[in-house]
Amino acid sequence: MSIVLEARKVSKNFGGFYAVKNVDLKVEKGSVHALIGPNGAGKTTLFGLLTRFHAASSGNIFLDSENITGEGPADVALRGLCRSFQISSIFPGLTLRDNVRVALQHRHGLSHQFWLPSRTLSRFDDEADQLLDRVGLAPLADRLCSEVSYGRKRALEIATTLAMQPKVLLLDEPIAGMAAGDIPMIVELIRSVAKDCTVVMVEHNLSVVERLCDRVTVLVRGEVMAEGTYREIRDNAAVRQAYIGAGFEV
Amino acid sequence: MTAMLAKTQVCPLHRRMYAKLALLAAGLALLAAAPMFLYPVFLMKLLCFGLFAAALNLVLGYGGMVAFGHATFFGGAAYVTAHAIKEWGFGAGSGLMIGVAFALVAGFLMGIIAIRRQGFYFAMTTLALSQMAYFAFFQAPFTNAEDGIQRVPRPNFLGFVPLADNLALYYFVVAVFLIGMAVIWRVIHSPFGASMTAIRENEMRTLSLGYRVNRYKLTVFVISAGLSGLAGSLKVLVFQIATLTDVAWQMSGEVILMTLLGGVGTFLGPVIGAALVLTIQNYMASTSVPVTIFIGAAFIICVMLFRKGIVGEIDAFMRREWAADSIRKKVELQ
Repeated sequence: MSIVLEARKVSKNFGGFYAVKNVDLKVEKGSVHALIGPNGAGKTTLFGLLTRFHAASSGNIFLDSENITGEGPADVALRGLCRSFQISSIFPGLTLRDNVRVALQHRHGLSHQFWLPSRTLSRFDDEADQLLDRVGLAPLADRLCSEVSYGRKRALEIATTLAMQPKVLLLDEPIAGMAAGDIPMIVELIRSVAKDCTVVMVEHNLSVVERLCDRVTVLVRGEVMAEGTYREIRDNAAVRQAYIGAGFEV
Repeated sequence: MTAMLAKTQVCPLHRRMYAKLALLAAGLALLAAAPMFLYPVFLMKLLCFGLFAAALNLVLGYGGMVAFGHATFFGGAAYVTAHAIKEWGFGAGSGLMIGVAFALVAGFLMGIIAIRRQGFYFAMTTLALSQMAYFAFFQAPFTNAEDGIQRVPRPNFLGFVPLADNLALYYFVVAVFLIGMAVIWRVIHSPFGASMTAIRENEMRTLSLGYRVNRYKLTVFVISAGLSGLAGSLKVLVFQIATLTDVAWQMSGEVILMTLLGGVGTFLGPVIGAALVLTIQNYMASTSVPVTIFIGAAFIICVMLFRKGIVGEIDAFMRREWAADSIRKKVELQ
């Protein structure tokens, strides 16, 4: 399998404190790769570094073997490295369809034309509805985002990100804060998405990680402690000690 | 029966469109007839400041950026137009165009620096740059410092429209105002407008979707500057004078006040806000109470009672009514 996303010796230093230190990460194309670790391990910071929302203090990041370390977050997104956020990030004042359309209009190069009427955007309605249908939100397409549940907002965020046709999809705690009833829907959604693109996800729910992920990287205090399959990680005594706690059985 | 009922109902979208068309027709009729009831020069001042406030609203209301330096574009364009017409013999049309060109360039230069920061820092950067522009205009020999450029002629437009006549000038100002408002309408209701709405709603998210956010901000800032310049140049034709008052920071503050009073992020709000402030200034100036007291009171009332501004509150009320009406219709059909 080829490597689609790679971090080499990446560090992030906040005034002397290393949130991420000399992290090496290789994500195989077509895989679902989990980043796990206790709170404050640097998982979200690493996401920010990979998607260029944070500038790395040192190290390099490669997407499809091309060095993207010096690029901005928008450039990286246009290359196909797209992310969701830890706290649901949507456009609350827009309808669900319009949320997806924001991504579609940009992907189709129709976001800067101030001389064209708004109705030119209606050409994306069908595609937006298809994406909403994929995440089970088609019946709510005309509803305002602020009117739907948190679980549906997370699903909408994934639909909006999918509109960019990502090569690599980075999901930051996709089921955090969700009602238990909504979790299977999101798990199935991620499984379905993973058929078309590589997925990297930060997740605390280990049963979800076990069900979905091919590879797992454990971060502790900003450094990689272990990497392997879920079974290898589960059986690693050091990981259990650091992450789960001594005496805890998975 | 249900199908027949459905056919006879006017869909809410069409009703909204008819309401907007009726409003447009009423507005045009009002503009055409207004000089019969009100002093044309006052009306022209109102249109100039209405356009200025509407231009600022592009940045403030639709871009979500509190710009505190728009006086540079308004007053700077006024100086350039006044000088071009008086000293270089430009016509009215070319005078307006050179004023707009100046504002576009100044907007690009100010914008490319200011948009790198957000919120308070953006506002302070625009204020600092506009203060630098103020002192540049104060020192520049062609502006005549505190005297300003006075007795600017009103050349005929296209050689045959006599702008020296107040009524002819009024209709010329109305035409330019409508063109400016049409540009604003197009920008708001365009794919670019949708992008700006998304950026205002959630900048981080648009960035993560590949939008180079600063380019959009710069574009809307430059368009807003150009339209502010158009308003400033137009004001020179009306009052035949360009002074330091137009480039001072108080002018930047006053136009923000107009926009807030009328309704930030609404199409007509800034024009209504400008009309309110200018009317207070005009009719309360003769009283013994300083006019700023009245304007300050109006602002406090606005902030306390209707934070969305006059048009913003009316718009919100109409939307609630339309939504309720739409639900009632659905229930009836069922």
